[in-house]
Amino acid sequence: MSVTVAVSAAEMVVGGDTPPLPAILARALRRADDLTILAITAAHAAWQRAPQRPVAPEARGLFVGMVHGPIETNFRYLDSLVDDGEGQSSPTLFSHSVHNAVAGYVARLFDCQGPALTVTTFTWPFLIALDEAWRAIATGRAARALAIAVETSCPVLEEASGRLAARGGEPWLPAAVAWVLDAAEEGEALEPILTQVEVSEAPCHPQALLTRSGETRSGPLLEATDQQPAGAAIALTRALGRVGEVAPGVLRWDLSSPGAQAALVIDTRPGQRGDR
Amino acid sequence: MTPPERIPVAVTGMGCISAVASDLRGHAAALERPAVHCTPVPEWLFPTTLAWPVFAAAGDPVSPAARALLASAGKDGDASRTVLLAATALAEALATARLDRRALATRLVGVVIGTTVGCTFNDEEYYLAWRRGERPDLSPVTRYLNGNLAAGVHALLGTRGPAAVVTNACASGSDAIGLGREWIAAGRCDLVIAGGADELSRIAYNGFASLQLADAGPCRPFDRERRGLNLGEGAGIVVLESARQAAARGVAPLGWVRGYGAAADAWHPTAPHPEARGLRHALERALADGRVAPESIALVNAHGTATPANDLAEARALAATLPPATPVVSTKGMTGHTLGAAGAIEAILTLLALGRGATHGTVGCRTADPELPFAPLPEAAHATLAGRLGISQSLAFGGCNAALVLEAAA
Repeated sequence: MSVTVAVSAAEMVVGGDTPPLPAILARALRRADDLTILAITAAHAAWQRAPQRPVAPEARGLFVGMVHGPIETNFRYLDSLVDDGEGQSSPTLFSHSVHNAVAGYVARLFDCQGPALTVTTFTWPFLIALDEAWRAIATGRAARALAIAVETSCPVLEEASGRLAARGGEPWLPAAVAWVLDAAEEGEALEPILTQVEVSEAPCHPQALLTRSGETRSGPLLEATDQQPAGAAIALTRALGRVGEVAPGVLRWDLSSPGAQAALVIDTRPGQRGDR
Repeated sequence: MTPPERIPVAVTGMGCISAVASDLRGHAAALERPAVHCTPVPEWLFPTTLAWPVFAAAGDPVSPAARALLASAGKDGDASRTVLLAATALAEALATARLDRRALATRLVGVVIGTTVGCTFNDEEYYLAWRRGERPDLSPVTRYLNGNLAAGVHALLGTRGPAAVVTNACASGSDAIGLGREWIAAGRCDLVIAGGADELSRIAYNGFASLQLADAGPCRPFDRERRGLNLGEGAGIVVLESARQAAARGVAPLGWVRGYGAAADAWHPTAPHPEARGLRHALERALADGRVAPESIALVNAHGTATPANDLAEARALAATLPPATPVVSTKGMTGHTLGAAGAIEAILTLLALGRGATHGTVGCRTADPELPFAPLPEAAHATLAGRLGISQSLAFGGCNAALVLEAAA
């Protein structure tokens, strides 16, 4: 079975000042944590930019990748447990401290009733999410998929990262990235085509992944210097936004860290139907 | 839409630890003679003033084989309890699959493991010291960084390949096995080590208490008097590979992962959809993926947490999907709710029961709730199974649902 998977839209939100959301979303997010609001903001922007297609809710998949996930919400829950005492801790904070709480909100607000998966790794969880989104479409389990990366700042780990790297702790930027992938119908002019996602992990000292030391990116990603948990997802989204500045062709972007190798291949030639 | 036919994915190794026992043999024995080790939180686990009972893992969380595996990789120092539980199940799974580090070194190995507590930085002492403005020793941070189960298993075995920790809350273990099946079927790797692991923690314990989802006594899945869940801990690991490769290695499959389905409720952060919309979709997809007719299912190991909402939603999904006489049990009356490990442990228990061709009823279910539209097997019942195909299913916070269609080897 050969299904062509197109990237219909890719949006990101970087930094603390998120653009305002429509009232209907804002109302649904009144109890949500910062991580969830960031993810919804990016997902909403990508969903709006993607072509309007009649995709049944059951055919909408959702794939979320995170490095540290709702770690700040977890600390707020810990604050509640310590300060308020056992039996008095906040159920709302607890339910939001679960990694897939973000996916729960996204699924509800975008009516995604297809497969929903949250993955957590210290390297590039967005690449894993993107790959699983690709596979869901390629195997017919979804016709449209949202792939999301989201991270917040975390002063506890930022300070630890600084000490491990023997330098001052650098603040992490809250960031979210959302890509909309679509199954391209025969003859449909959707582009660019996502041709390949490769991710392979190898043993490494895990502290390198917190300090992001030794992480490199090739080609058009080189200008992205932010060594942050969401750095690779941000760099890939920036690069995708600039594919129109170069001649159409097959673009391969490589990432490397002490703990992993990854590559992403995009075909920007008009009318191409990628396969792998 | 009928999904494309996939290559058969064999289960060639299994390992399991929970409150029931610390190995497969003990879990198989418990399927003959159920035992319930539900106690107040042991003092050595964590301090608490609350009285909700738990299912702590049986005995030493580290088996001798796991200790040797950890030592061989120089990882026997400061591992989290979740990693230790996972290592015990991993060592047993590799042994039953007749695999060692040397055999794995020549293969592309995927690792996909579910967890919840296991990938959270929950060190209260560190956090409170940091909150006071101190600069605490970084050992807990290092332990957290070493605690990513997929990367940790690669490090333990010296293997290379795709890796993912599934954090789909209580469905994580089922989704991990389902993803492993996808990876083998797609030819993405030669072998997949899949499963789930989770430890008991004060944070999750208080969290479920704050949500008023815990029972003050041993849990009673599907019982008319059910009040809620008991937390548990443990790990379940399976080795997956293609039937062709298993044959080439001369290893007889223990069973098969025939189908996998996942679907979101798109409904509520913690409560299941009242009509179990997502679970119904997941079940339908798993059956279609495995090309299995509902009438062929001989056993369902339900999520069966014993919360009123979960058990009702699950029964509604089963009533809409399967023939009414299909035997349905929950094994959480023996294991407690092991969160990210639950789906994996329950998949293994399902394969063990299907292999025996019999199951006892749901421990804790003295009188099945007459309001449920699907009658589970109560505690006193015993069923001879009419086939070798079964379903293990999971529901989770965030509205995630997963179902596995499993087949025991003849």
